[in-house]
Amino acid sequence: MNTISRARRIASRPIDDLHVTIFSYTFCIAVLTAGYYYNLTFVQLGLIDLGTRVVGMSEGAVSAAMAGMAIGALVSAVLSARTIQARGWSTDLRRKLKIMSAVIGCQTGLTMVAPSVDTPVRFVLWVAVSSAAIGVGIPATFSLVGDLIAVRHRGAAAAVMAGGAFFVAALYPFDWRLEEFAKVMSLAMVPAWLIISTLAFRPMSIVDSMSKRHERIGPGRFCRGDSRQRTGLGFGGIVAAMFLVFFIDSLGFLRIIDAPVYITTSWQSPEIGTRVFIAVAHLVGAAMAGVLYTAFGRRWLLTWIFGLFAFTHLLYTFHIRTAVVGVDPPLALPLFYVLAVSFYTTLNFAIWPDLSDSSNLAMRTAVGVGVAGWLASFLSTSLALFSEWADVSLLDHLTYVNALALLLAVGYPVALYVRRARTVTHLKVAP
Amino acid sequence: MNPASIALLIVALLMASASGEVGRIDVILDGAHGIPVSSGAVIVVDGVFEVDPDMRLEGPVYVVGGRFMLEGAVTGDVVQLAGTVDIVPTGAVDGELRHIAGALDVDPGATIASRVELDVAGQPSGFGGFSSTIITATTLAGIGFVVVRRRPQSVSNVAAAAFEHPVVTFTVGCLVTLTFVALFVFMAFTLVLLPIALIGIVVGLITAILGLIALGRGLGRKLPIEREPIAAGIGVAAVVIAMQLAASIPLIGDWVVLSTVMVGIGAVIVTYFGAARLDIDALPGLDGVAAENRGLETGD
Repeated sequence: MNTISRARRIASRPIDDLHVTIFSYTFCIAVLTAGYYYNLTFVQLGLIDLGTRVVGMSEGAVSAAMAGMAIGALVSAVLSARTIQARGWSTDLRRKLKIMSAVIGCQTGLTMVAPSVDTPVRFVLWVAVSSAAIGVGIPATFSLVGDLIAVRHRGAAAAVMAGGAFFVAALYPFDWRLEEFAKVMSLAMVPAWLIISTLAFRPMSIVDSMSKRHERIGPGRFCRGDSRQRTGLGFGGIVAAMFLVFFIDSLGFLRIIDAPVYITTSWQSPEIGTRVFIAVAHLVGAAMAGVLYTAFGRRWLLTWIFGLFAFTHLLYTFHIRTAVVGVDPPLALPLFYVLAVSFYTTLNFAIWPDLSDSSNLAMRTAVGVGVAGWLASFLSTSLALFSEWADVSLLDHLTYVNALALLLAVGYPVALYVRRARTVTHLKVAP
Repeated sequence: MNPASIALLIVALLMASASGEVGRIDVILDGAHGIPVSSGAVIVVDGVFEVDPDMRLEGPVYVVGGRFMLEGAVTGDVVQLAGTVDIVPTGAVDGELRHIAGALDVDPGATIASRVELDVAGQPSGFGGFSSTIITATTLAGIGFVVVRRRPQSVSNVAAAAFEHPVVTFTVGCLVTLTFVALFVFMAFTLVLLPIALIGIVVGLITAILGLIALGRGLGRKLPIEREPIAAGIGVAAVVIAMQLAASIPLIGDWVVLSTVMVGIGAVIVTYFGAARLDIDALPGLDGVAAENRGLETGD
């Protein structure tokens, strides 16, 4: 009790700028890292396990539910963002914390009851409620980067979020089963919910100080100066590019992890050294992406992401064609996959706040994360499950993914070149 | 697999495919292996490859790393470019045993039809190792002198990128090297694209040398020498010697050398081989609004 009252006294003291900065950064990074870890493990992998193994549904039926979840999350995110903007909550941190508290409370309950879901009807109901809750949480959580983290530090912060989430997910839990995920998440989510609820509902000077930071930080990196006029079109282009990135990733990954020869020698290897290698590769990849994003911006990074995905799938298809039975695939295969995934996840955390200002932050993060992240991931997840259900071989499936990745690896730089050429021509023609 | 093994693997693939008699090539990358089911060439890159007594391998065998233990017979040639080759008394090479570099131990009782010794690497130790470093440093210093004299602005741009943005150039260097080395190895395995892979390796080597020259030029500028090409030459020699000394430090030595090379390669790449300066916009910090009001514009 004594400790709690001391903590309250400390929390209600006037605080200096450095402490606010440290707390803001730590809080934002912790929330988004934990949220993404939940998405990576429980939602993407646990849900498939719940539907197919625990409930006993066919892969086709689970894929339909996943597609429904994606659309539900997107609609819910957009409606939530619209409400936030209409009511002027875009820059109201305390209101966002209250929304997050409600969402985490709901997700904690859903996570706890997930292992007891035993019929298809309950599964669909679970998916519907979860997608609505996740959608509501998207604009509130992802816009924290825009509210709390200075433009200069967004690349680094995004790298810590992406690297941290993947690092932990690669090492724990060891077993990709719903029961394991639910146990880990329930234990972690209850204290997280208590902390966020305390910050949201109790008067605290640090939260008041954090609420004012957006006034000093200002608009996103790509919404400043002359860039302001271009962002409408630029935003649509980035959403489309990120949609394709997420789509390629999930489309290939869901089939790769179903092949024992690849999964047991990488992400699900019994060798701790292999798992540590993958975890560290995620950290290194995210750090690289953070540096590149800060130094060069989004186009450079997107070019690398498409290139890495194309090369990775080329390696996988080549290996399937030439593999010798009994010989483990080289670690270069998951290494390049991990690099590509860490690159785009880092970009995903930083890009939406950098394409927004306070007037459109909630909506742009909702549309960006909702369309690019959720819709693309779950549409491709359901497509991957469908291809498995339709007995499409791994080689054929990855060849299609590879073709798409190669097309984008070539098409994206060409599109940038054409855009640049048009700009140059326009400048020459203009008086 | 180290960078030297990758280059030697490509050379071995080129040698194997150039003979025109090889239908299949097996590459040993890791672990311990015996004779493969199908006959053809074998390239030992890492791990251990054993030919047991009373077994016969068609060959040829190329050793670019790892260990090759011959207790049986090889019909074709055995070419050693690096790594270790052990031939015991029961071992036999019907073709030619060509030793170019690496550790070779042939028992006097072994049957070798023809043997060619061409130990280009030798055993660099003591004075031999020191003189090798001096020769390398002098050669690169000479190249640095010529390049800085002919293209002072290009080298200056690369040096500025390396010294002003070491984290960015290191990141780009690592990413480009990792990706392109893997890509070239992948190309080499297709055999058809072997020449492209070789060209790629040569371009990579030129990039690394140009990066070292730029680092030497940056170091040379700090010396009290007025003539830039001479200062750059001395700087390059100093960088090479410092790298050799750093490499002898246990645990971190190799990483220090590798990081230096990566910074150089990254600096060459981001400046388009010195054609442009690397200018990175300073992004706004906490007082972003104030910065914008002052007219700071950012974007890519």
